[in-house]
Amino acid sequence: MADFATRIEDIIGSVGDSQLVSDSLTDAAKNILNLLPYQCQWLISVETPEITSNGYGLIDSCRILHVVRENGVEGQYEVCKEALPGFQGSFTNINSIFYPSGNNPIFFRKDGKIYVYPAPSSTPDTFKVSYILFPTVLSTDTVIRTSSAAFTGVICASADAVFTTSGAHGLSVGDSISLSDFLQVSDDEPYDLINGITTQVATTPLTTTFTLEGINSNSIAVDLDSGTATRVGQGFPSELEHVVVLGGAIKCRLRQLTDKRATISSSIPSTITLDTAPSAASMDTSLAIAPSSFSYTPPSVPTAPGAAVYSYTKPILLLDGIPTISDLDLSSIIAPIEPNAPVFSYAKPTVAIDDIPTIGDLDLSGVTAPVAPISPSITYSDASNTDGSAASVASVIVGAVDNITGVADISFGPTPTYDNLYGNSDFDIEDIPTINDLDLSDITPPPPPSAPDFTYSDASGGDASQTDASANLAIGPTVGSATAGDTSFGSLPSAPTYVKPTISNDVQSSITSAITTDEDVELAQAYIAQFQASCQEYSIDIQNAQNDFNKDMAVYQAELKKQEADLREESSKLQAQAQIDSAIVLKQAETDLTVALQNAKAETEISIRNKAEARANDEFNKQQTQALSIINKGKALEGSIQVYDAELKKYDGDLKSYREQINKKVTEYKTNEIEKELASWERYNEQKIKRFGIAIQDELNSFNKDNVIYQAEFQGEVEEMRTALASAQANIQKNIQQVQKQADMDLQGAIKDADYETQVSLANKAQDQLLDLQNKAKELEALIADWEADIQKYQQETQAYQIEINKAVQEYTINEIQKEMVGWQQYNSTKIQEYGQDIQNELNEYNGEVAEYNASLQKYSADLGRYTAKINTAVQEYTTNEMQKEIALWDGFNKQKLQQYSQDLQNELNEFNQDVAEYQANLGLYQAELQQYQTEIGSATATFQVDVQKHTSELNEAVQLNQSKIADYSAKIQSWQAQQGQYLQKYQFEVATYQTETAAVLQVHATMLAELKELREQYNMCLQAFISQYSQQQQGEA
Amino acid sequence: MRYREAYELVNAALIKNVLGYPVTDSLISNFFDAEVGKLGRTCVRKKASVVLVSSGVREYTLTPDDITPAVYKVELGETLVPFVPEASINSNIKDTDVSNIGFFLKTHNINGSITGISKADPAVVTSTAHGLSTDDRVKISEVSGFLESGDEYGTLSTVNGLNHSITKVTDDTFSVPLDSSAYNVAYTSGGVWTHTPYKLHFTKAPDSGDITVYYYASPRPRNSQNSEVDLPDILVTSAIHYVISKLLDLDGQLQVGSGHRGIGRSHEEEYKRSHTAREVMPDIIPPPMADWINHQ
Repeated sequence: MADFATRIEDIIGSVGDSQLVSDSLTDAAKNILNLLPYQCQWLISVETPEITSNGYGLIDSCRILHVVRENGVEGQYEVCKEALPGFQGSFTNINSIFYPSGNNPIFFRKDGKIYVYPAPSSTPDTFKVSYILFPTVLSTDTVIRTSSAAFTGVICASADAVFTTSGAHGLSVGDSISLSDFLQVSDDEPYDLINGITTQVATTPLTTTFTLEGINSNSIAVDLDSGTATRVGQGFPSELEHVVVLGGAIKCRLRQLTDKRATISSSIPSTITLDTAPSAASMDTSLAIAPSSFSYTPPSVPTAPGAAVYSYTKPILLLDGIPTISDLDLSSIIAPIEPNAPVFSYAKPTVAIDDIPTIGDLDLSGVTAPVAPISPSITYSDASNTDGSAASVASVIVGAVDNITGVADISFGPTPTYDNLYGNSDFDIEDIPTINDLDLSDITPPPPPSAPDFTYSDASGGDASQTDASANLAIGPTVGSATAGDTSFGSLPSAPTYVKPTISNDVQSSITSAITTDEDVELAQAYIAQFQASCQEYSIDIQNAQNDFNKDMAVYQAELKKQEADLREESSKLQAQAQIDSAIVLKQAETDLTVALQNAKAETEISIRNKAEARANDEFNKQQTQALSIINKGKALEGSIQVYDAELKKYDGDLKSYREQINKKVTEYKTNEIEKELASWERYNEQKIKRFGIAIQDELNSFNKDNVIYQAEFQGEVEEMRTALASAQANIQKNIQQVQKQADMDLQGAIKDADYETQVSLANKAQDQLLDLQNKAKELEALIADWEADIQKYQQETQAYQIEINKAVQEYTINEIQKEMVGWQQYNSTKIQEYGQDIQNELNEYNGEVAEYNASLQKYSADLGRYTAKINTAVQEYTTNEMQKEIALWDGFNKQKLQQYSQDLQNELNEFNQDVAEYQANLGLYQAELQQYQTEIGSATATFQVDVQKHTSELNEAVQLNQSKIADYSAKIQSWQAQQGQYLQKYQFEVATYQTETAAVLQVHATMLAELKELREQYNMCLQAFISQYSQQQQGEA
Repeated sequence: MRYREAYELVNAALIKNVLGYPVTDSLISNFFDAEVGKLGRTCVRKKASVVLVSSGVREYTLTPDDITPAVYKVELGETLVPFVPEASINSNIKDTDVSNIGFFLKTHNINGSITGISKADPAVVTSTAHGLSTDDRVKISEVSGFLESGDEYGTLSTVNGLNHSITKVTDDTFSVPLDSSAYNVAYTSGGVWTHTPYKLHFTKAPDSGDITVYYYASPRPRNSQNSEVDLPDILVTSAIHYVISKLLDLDGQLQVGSGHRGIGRSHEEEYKRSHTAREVMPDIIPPPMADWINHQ
């Protein structure tokens, strides 16, 4: 089959540019591959080997179909979703929700490289990229080879001609390989012996090495590196080759159209170039401006003598300050110390009444009541005689002798006892009456009057101050400067300029655009017609501009003449005005000066008089105020002393009243409380003591009485006892006899009844018993005798006891009770008397204190009087000697100052008058200067008039010169207009020629466009047909 | 269907809708797992029960993984324990003064601070006086460091955000089933755990015996992407469409997302129609009312 260039030229004719054809075919193939649906992509797609790191770079001319990554298990690839590279941070942030997992990896492209996340590493975390390499189709090619893989950085050793790739190449034996870009290692020069060769893979010794058919060690003389080995294939569908040809033809046709339009643009008439209009005539306008010397400069107005010349220096009256009148020193006059208010506390005398004397108990312990003799217990045991026992002799039973009775029953009755009355509550001495304290709380001692504060506030004379007398003197008149009127003239009118009309060149660019861009000839013709009209308008504008210029020049000349006339007139007015102004200024200055002098004199005199009067008034007022202040202070002091005196008198009265109340209260207390209570207590206790004495006596009497009865009863009882004893003795005798008789009887009976031994025994027994009885009887008699002796002794003791009792009671009564009580009474009576005396003493002492206080008050009052007198004297002396003296001194001194001040004023006035005289002299000078000024004005005006005349003549010369220039310029304009007319005619001719040529080219262009459109339709139809056909084929296979 | 398959379906469905953000497994699982839980609780309402042994206290922790607050029945031996609202219970009343027993359910929120995690298998977490028991499920968060490779960008550990069933080691430590022995980055700082158990409360301590708690269970949780989705297939489809709709909504493709939402809803309703039961939705109607409705 013919090559692609031929096939394209068969469609669109000759292209003539093989590179254009190749580029168009390559672009067309790329477009078609981009449009291929994914079902067709497998035909030409390739996959990279496993990639273990990010940043995999692909050659520019490829289309990535998909990226897959192992999910952690070798050989298990997950499709990576493409994401935006902006999420790269999230893809590596484990805490991000966008952190990808191995099961759901992502990839993105950045800087021409591919990045996969989770980040790849060696198996099982590798990734692969599936992509399509766009083929390069040459015009000379007859088939389209797809470059499905390109390995860069390939090296080749000359020794064995083995090519080594940087990674696994994945090539198979028989794959077509195209070599390019190989450099010699020795000098980095391209090794074109193999660059551009396409051959097949011969062997693949390793996954990273391969050898090629036809290339061996003989073919390669040097080591090579940096080469690119591109796997090419036949995979591009042959059905699409025609579509590629159509696509290439379309692109070539577009180029042809461009070239055709280029032929049109070459004949576009060049832009009409018009000559530059002659520049406007250079008018000489330098003379149109008034020369500098033309300005009228009036001489400076002489300066009027200023007011400062006779400035009135205000004399300063510095009066001395108010004389420092030393404070009235009253420190040497000591105010009498007011007597301290006596503390009229009534010291209540105390009396400590002794406790009731402890009257010792009536001690009768030493008097022991006689113990009544105990009745002897006489027991008679029946006599028995066991010795005389004989077995046959019965015991001789002696009959029992009755006990002596009646003796033990004798009782002596109770011993009379003396009831010790001490401790009997009935006779308790009452406690000392509680005499209430003397309560003076309801009598409030009069508070002593507060001593008035006699501090004398010195009258101060600081209030008297004098404002310095000052006179606001009128300031001298200000002489206004004379003005010389407006001396400037308005500028002369500007010289007219020739305004060059312009012609628009926009039409020319429009014509060019219409032809080259829009390819619209009619529009271009319309623009040309518009341009011609513009040229005609331009010619008219040139004529109008010349007319306007001539017209403006005439106006300008007229204005110049008018300015000249105005100048002359203004000069005259200015001169006259200057003279008038000078006269007015001088007159005004004289008037102002006179008025100022008069005002100054009047104001100065008034001011001086007012100040002097104010000063005198002020001084008088101050003196009056100060004198009044001192008098008032003295009066206030006297008032205070009088008030205090009255308060002291009142206090004296209050004290008397207080003293009376105290006396009354104490008297009442003595009468009502102490004496009454003590008397009552004495009376009460006296009765108790009396009753106690009576009770003691009664008790003694009762004791004696009882004792008599007791004695009687005792005697009776003793008699009864004696009787009973006698009876008992008789009974005993009787019993003895009975016993003896019985014993005899018993003895006889025993004798009768017993043998001899028994009789002896009985006899012995009887004898013993009789002896015993006799002994018992004797003992009984002895006992009775002892008892009787005891009775007698008891009687004696009882009598002695009675005597001792009587004696003890009597002694107790006399020595103890009466002695103690009398002593106590005497003692306490003394204390009470002392207590009353203390009260009286206290009262006397109080009265003495009151009297003393009264005396001190009187003394204090007298001291106060003296103090007041001293104060008055001191104040008077102070007023006379100190203050009036000082004031007089001050007055005299200030009078001098005032006189000095008046003198100063007069001097100042004199100086002022002198200054005025000088000013008047200056004014005379000023008048002379003014006359000089007038002279100078006249001179300046004359100069000015000369300048004006000179300027006028120069101006006339300039006008003539400029009129000549205008004439030359008009001639140049006419010549320029003629030249431009020729240019315009030539341009119109070129435009007409261009229109003709453009119309022919545009017709061809339109034909080519129609063919292009047809080609596009055919291209689309073929491509669509392929896609449809392939889809149907796929569906059919499915 | 397994979770991974569901995720792949979501991925595949979104190929044509180029999203402005990367759709990762984390993103999908966030949405999908939530949808599974929701559909399980609202549509499937799988019933389950757990038997507790009365220990003489009023409070019992419900430990099953699939426990939900939708308890619909509690049996105490041969007695049915009625539900009582917590608001009507005064917990200060003594058991002896409470006549009738009732129950209510309460979610507790217990948490603690983590002061260390060891690189070990299992990883041992240090938290002073944590008070947890074995099989308690805790969620860990805010742990810094403790990274597997150390190449990760970010400082928070992968231990964060997961529910761990712990084993009590000591009063101050517990272990989580995580082999961190090969971690390259040790624990650095921070970390809190939260334990939010459901607890069954009684008005008084139940008598000794078994307490059987019946509840509507949540779907089985996902252990890995190979876990089976504990939903009927039709509801898995529904969940996939719901997730797709949400991902599209996120990208602003609201119209397309709305279509997927509609498909998901139609599948859900279809399932409900075909599995209509006279049981109310426990997540809407509280147990006492649900009990009443169920017994009509």
